Amino acid sequence: MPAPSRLLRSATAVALAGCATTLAYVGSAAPAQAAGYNGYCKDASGVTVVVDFGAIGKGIAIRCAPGVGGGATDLDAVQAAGIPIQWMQRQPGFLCRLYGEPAASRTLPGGGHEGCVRPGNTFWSVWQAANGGKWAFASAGVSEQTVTAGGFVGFRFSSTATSAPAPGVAPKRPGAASPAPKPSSTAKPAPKTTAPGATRPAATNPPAGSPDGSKTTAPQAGSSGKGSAARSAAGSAGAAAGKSSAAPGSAGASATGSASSGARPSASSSASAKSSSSASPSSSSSAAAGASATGSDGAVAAGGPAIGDSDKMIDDAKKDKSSGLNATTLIGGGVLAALAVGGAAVAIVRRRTSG
Amino acid sequence: MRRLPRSVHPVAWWIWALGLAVAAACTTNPILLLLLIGVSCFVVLLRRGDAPWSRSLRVYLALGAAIVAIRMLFRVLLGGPGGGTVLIDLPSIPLPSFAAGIHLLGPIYSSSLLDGLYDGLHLAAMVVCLGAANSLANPKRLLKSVPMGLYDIGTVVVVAVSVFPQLAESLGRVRRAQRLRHDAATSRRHLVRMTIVPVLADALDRSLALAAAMDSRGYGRHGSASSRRRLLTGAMTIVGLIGVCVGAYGLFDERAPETRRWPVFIAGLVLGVAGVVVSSIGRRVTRYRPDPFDLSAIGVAAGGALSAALMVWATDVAPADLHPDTLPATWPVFGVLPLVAACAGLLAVVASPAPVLSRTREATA
Repeated sequence: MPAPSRLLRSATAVALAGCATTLAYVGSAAPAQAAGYNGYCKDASGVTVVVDFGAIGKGIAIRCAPGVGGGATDLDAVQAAGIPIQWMQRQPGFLCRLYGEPAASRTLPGGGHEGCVRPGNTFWSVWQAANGGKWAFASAGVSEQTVTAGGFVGFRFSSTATSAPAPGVAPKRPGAASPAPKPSSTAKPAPKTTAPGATRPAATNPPAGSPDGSKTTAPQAGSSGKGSAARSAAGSAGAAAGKSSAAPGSAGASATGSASSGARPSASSSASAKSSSSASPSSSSSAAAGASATGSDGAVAAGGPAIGDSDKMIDDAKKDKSSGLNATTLIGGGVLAALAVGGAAVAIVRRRTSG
Repeated sequence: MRRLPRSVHPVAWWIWALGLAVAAACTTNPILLLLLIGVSCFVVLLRRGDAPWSRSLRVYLALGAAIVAIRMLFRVLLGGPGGGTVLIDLPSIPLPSFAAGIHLLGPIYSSSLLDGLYDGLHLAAMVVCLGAANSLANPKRLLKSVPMGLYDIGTVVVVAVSVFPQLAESLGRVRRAQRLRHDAATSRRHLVRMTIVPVLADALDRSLALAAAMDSRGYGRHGSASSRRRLLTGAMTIVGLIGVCVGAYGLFDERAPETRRWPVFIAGLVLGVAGVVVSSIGRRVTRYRPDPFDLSAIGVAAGGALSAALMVWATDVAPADLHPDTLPATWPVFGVLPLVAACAGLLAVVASPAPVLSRTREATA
């Protein structure tokens, strides 16, 4: 039967070609790290990227992405700062790891997909802030959301289903005596609940002080359609904001966006629904941070997590990656080749004998 | 007296294949996935008979290749974020604001293409593993070992599962006939008339013949059970199976309410088992040449189960080996445990006897 075997042969050829190109790209890829530096940005010409590891327990890493101005996305800022970023393989656009954390060897509460996130339970929440402003839940994915020029991009690893607190440091550069002049769209540091830097129409929120601020009934948005889920999430976010506006200083923690870091609409909307449902209890620590930030210059709140050295973390993240092939992998490749050769030989012999 | 050559129990092949599929589901490491594909293909090549369904593996391989290609194509079409080397810098097509978050084209990153490749291989490996079971196990013998209470449902499942290999075989026959006629001018033109219609007609003929054959051998007889009792047991079984499905879904869904998890699962299981037991009371079934679940069958099943168990263990012990980084791209390395897990399926070659071929059977007769 020549035709089917031709099919088989071409399928094999495609598979082998795919593998060969994979290995070629894997071998040739040498990521160029841009020059960011540890700590807050020294002036308004850059964007400070704050990564709060939360329950991972590595404190907070602060790194500057110099030369990133308005119009750039969060992703541009992260890459310009030289922070290793990794997406979920099976959910394109969903943020998986920053600084190589959560490492695959880490045990996450409730397990996790690909060892990094479980949407709705453990995920990286993304935040935006102007310098001296307040953290606002990002309303679009990392590669969509534009940065506030001279401002802050925050990430916090949220590890429980019931809270998505803001990063544990206040978004204020220590050196700047007065807030640098901001470009138009980003708001003043006044505690307004509209998200700064909101560019998408979806991010315009229902008015704060929507009905029933006391009980934020979280919609079970897990499996519903994206449109209604996002809308109800935004509604409950507005409700949470309505409550938190009663307590000044905690507004920074209330989620004002309708979508979290993920580009997948269903997963991200459920995540933001969870976070908005819990913004009020979670705001205790970040409210303190916000309150103290207005007084002192961007210091960590008392009892807050320690600020780590981001240069060292990047080095650690690179060190974890094994660069070369190891013996067992080569054995695996050898077994694969032996199977291919053996299988082909068996097929030929059987075809000969059976005529 | 020499023992007659026997084929391995079909359930053993299915356990083996499902074990390999579970192992493939645990990892996105391309070398491990290729190893699993290679192991299942190798075992099929060594141990398949010469029955019609045995030739279906190449169709599953082609399906797997198509899956990989489609996954990678969609990563190119819906570019999205990525990193690393830009392979091709395509222009991005702007979309209106209601489609925010969706990219069309745009730069193709090596990492997103690699992700697509790994993801496609992940699914392709599972498809090939199940295809291996279809090539190795005789679907009609599988039907023989289904318990009596599940007989009606089992028939449906077996017919559904064996449709694809049957279609593959029909396609091969139709194309062989075309080649023998050597009608090169028309063979390419009328795809519907020349290929699809004969294949479907062949499938219909074959299923009618199968139904007649089953009827003449007493399949589907209900014996002396009254129609009311048949209705009762059938309803119990179906409701029980639906309950098991809903409960199993609830078990994996973290946000399902507590009442939809274990209670539904257990109630469904109890109902289903009760239905099977009640319907098998009073039915006497004799089996002609029953397939024993002998030592070779245990060995085959153990190969698959071992592969699955070791790989699940590796998700705890060496999770980094199972999901290689693509940004920055690294070599997909792994340790000893995943390697052993991927190769454990080869035990089936050692455990199972050489296949029974019709040609050798004629020769010994």
